[in-house]
Amino acid sequence: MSAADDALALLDDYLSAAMSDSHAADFEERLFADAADERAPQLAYLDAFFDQAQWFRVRGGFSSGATAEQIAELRKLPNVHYIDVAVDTRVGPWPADTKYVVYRLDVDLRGYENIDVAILTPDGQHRKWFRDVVFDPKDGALYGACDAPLAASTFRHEPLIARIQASRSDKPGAKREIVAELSVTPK
Amino acid sequence: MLSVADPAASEATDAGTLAAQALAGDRAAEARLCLRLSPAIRAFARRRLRSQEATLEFQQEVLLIFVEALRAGRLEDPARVAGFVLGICRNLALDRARERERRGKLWELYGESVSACDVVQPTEVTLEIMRLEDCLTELSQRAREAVWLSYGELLNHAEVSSRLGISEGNARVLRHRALHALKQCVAVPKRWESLQ
Repeated sequence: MSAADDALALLDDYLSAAMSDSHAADFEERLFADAADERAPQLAYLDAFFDQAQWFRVRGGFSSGATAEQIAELRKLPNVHYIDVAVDTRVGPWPADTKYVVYRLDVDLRGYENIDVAILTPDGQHRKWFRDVVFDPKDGALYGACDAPLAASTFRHEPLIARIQASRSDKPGAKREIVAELSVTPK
Repeated sequence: MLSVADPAASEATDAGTLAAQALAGDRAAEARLCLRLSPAIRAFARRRLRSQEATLEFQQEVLLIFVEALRAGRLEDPARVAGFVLGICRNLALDRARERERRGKLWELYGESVSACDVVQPTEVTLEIMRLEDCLTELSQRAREAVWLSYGELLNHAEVSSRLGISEGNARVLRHRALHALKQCVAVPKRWESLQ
């Protein structure tokens, strides 16, 4: 661990009260002195992180994936655009004032666990991972929501494939298998 | 995120010098000190309080007392301004009820100066939030949950480990690794930024 990592960990210990009160008293002296002299980049980072985290409340936190019910609630908000992604889906432009894009991936993941989604180009270039995604227990589909500019990179710029990999939950130690591949092409 | 940009942030002035300038009536120096110390005051409050609102209220109260003390010349040693503000935090934490009534009066006198240091919740998504959103998907669900419980739900260390059903030591390591990974990840421009 670097000194910066240590400083981040110490500050997290302080904030979360993992640090004892007696250590915290000394730590606070340094924290305030460093802040006053602008020598506390970790403090600036975590201070901003607290505020950024509040942004995710509307979507129920940091989880990757959602339930149909959560998505239905989000769809009641203004400026939300919905996309249903099937095996081969063409996605047109959405209204310019769209804030959130919510989506449903048409798969049935009931009976699977350890679900990852890899976003790839048709020629196999890796774009992004969605790790440990949760699915809706009622219909097994994957639901998600993201801010419109981020969604545009997935749905509107180039043809992409969502490769869904998971392991069977009824077979302990089972290897991950490809459960489905859904493609999205901008129109 | 602060509501105003520090106009002279690039000038590396030590806190003691700023405090001396503030004591001499330099309002810009006073504002810079408030901005610099605000994250530390919020950290102090977050360790002890359970909500974002309570944290911001605590910060305002500390800064009101600090500004009043500065303008009344009660900071005796400008070089120890950080310790002075920490002292205000500690005193306030010990007896907040006694001070509550006084705050209303101080707000009338100094409220306008202090409100510039408030945290402003973004009404529009920011680049930093989108990078965080992007980076979160690369973490395991358990790591995301550990960080969310601490920084979103504002639970303390023991509560986080209890909710996750793991030891306090494991929860701590999980959170440290996740925070480090996120910090590294959000510092790097993303591909989608060039597609806007």
